[in-house]
Amino acid sequence: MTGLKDTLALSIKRHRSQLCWLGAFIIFLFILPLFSGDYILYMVMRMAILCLLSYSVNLLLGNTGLLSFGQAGFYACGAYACGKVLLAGTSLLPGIIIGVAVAAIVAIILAFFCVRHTAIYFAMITLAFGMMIFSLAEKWVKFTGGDDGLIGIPRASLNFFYIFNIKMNTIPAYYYFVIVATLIAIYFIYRILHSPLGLIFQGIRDSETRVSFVGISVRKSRLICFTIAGIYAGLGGALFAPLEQTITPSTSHWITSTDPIIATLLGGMYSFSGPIVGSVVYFLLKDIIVRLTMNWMLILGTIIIILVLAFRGGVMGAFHAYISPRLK
Amino acid sequence: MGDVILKTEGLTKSFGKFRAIDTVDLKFKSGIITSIIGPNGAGKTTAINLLTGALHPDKGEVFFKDKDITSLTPDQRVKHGIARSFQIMNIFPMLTVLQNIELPLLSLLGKNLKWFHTVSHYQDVAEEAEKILRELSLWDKRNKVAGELSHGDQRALEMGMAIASKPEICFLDEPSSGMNPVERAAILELIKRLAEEGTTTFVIIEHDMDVIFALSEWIIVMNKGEILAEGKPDDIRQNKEVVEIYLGEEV
Amino acid sequence: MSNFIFQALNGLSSAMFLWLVAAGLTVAFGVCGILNVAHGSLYMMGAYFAFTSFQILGLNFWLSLVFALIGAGIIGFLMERFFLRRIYDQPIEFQLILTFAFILVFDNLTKMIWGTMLIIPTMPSLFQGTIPIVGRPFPIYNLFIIFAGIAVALIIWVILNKTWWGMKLRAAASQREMANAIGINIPMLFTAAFVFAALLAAIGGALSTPIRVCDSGVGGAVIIQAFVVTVIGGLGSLKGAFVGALIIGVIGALCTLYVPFIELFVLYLIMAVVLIIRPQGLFGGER
Repeated sequence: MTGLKDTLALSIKRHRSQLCWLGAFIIFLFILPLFSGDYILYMVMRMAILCLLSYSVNLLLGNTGLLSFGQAGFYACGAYACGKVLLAGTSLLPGIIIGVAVAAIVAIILAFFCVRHTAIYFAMITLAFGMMIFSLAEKWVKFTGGDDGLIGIPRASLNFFYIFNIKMNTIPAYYYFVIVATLIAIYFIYRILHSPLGLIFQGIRDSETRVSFVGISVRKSRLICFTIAGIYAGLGGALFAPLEQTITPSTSHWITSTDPIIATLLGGMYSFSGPIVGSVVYFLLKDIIVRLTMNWMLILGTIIIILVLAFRGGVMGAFHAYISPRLK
Repeated sequence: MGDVILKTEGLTKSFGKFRAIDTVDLKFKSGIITSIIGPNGAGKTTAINLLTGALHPDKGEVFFKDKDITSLTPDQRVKHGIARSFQIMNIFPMLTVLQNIELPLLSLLGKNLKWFHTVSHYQDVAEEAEKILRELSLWDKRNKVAGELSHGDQRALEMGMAIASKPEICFLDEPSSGMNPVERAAILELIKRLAEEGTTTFVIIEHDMDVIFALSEWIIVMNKGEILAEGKPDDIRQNKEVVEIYLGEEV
Repeated sequence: MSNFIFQALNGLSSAMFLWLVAAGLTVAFGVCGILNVAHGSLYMMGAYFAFTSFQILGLNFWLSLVFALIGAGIIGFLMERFFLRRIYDQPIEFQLILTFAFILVFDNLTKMIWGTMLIIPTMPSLFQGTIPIVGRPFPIYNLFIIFAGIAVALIIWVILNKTWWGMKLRAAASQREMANAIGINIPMLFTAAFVFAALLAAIGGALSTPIRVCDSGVGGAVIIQAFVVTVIGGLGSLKGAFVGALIIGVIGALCTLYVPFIELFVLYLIMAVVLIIRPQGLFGGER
């Protein structure tokens, strides 16, 4: 284990300033409920959930080079499964876990069909599967509640074999749960993206043929990537259900899949922190613009056009290119 | 040394009506640098694609040490010990030089499914990568993004990736294409050195006759999807048919 | 049986709208190599322009069509010339995201100009009335749509196969370098092809105004149907777009009749199955 300790010490030394920022950010998140109202906490939770969905998208887009229009499908699987379980009267954790598990299972099954495709065909087949899930959510009224969706999902309390029992009915309580879950998930995706597996994903993005000619099965790696992406979307959905307490079919619509794509693009698809920054910027922008003008979509659309044509690295890309060197 | 390491029997591949490779029996002997030459469209690159698994033949088999590998995918063939470089540069342009070399090593050393520790955590990968990068004289540039290297360095890097997986046989598709004379001499030197000290058998496709005759111990001449002749460099130089069809254009 | 025939005819007329939209989508993809997610918005613009000139300016039906075509043509020209042209050589993901952004822009602009009101269909007096088919009244306009769709198909076929411009277009679609080498002005041809695609979408939109409700969000809905159709027929194939539209239009209409609850599911299932078994679509080439 000394190897681990050494690398840890080394990376702490190398990334000291980043770690300081990270620490400050986490402390900020934890003391936020002390001085802000429920609306802000609600917004931060929405950001956290969008962030998970963005990691799901960016695992495929920025790291493996595949654009999915169907991530909302897995998001909805997580949300509906969690909602159904909570409606049956369980505590919070079983709902979240089953939500993630259902999304993971659906992702594994669909992965076998999706990973053979790249570029446009990948976008199209994920779109088709996502919309199949949408039409199920809309028409399978007995299970999903149809257009009205699942209503009155309880924000069940978090208990664990009588060891602890924490009520989740207030916004700040659920806020802590969402933040902790999101931070843990981000930690894991950080490990994955900096591991051999993550390097292989990025290799596939750069050159698929080369990856297979260094002796790595592209198919298998993509399968894993797609499944992890499904799990992250599912976790986002599972956290979303108790927050909103209502789940409607629009959760799974392809338009929902475009939110995390935009957020990722805003934050920067080639930086690890891109999805985090992007989700925050996306909601801040939306909140500010909607207050000032009715024309939120026009401004958002214009921003995306500018980003795609000129600043593909997003906010973080611009930061690394222009601001970060000057700070040194 | 001298055993047949890779051979084909009746290999055939068509693209539409065009027969790129027509019932070809190729043989490569261990430890002998072999070159495949021939005019454009002779089927050289198609042959390599069939041997390494990039394409599947319409007919015929590929044997690696008497094992039929015709149905294996490229990554499975790499695991058996068959590697290649590409005619059109094929590296990972957005990754660093070091990461480019780490990828084949992850596969070779069985670390390709590790997902928790950073890549640098694995000592064996790090050591091997350093060794290879020093050999390629790219160690100082290890943290550069590969896409920003000079053309010559990128070519060397690509070859490094091919040999990093410790192949028994390695195909180099025009390793010196697009290089200036200085770079060309360097890459020639590198191939020679690797062939001498390593356990890898090199098979080279080239247009540059100087490179061919300086390197090869065995030459296979292809034309219109068939083998026209094969033999030692001196014999090939004197083969009338070959001179007519191919060398004649350049001499 | 008469139900079946009647509903199949209805399906045929909705297939023609699908065909018009999918034809443009597939032309833009085949020639320029771009999959325009905002293509449905061009349909929407066509509808709004036609609606404006017909109901607000009070022009006649045919002039409204022309007005819609001119408007959408200009928009298509601006889109290609100033935006799409700059990302032809970029990975497809960026093209999809960029053109998606145009959906947002068009939706919002439509809301700004026309408000949030719906376009309520008004049938021009020219087409009012029905004719009996299998003993039931079939709207004359739906019959007109079927003929219009087939007429457009014929016109496209003549343009592509019998005119010099069409041959250049086909050359550019199959072999870009070659087309360049024989002196075809590629940038101009691409602009023209994209405008042509926009016109096809606009004519679909304009023709839909007498029978279909249209609002500022219709672009996103239309493009998804067009994706289903073009994927099934094969991206880049006009024949495929036509056959795909017929399949989806008729199957969709019959599903509404017999199994209304799973109509959407069936359509996406067909799309997914085609992608799994034959990703290049029914009539797609080897690309």
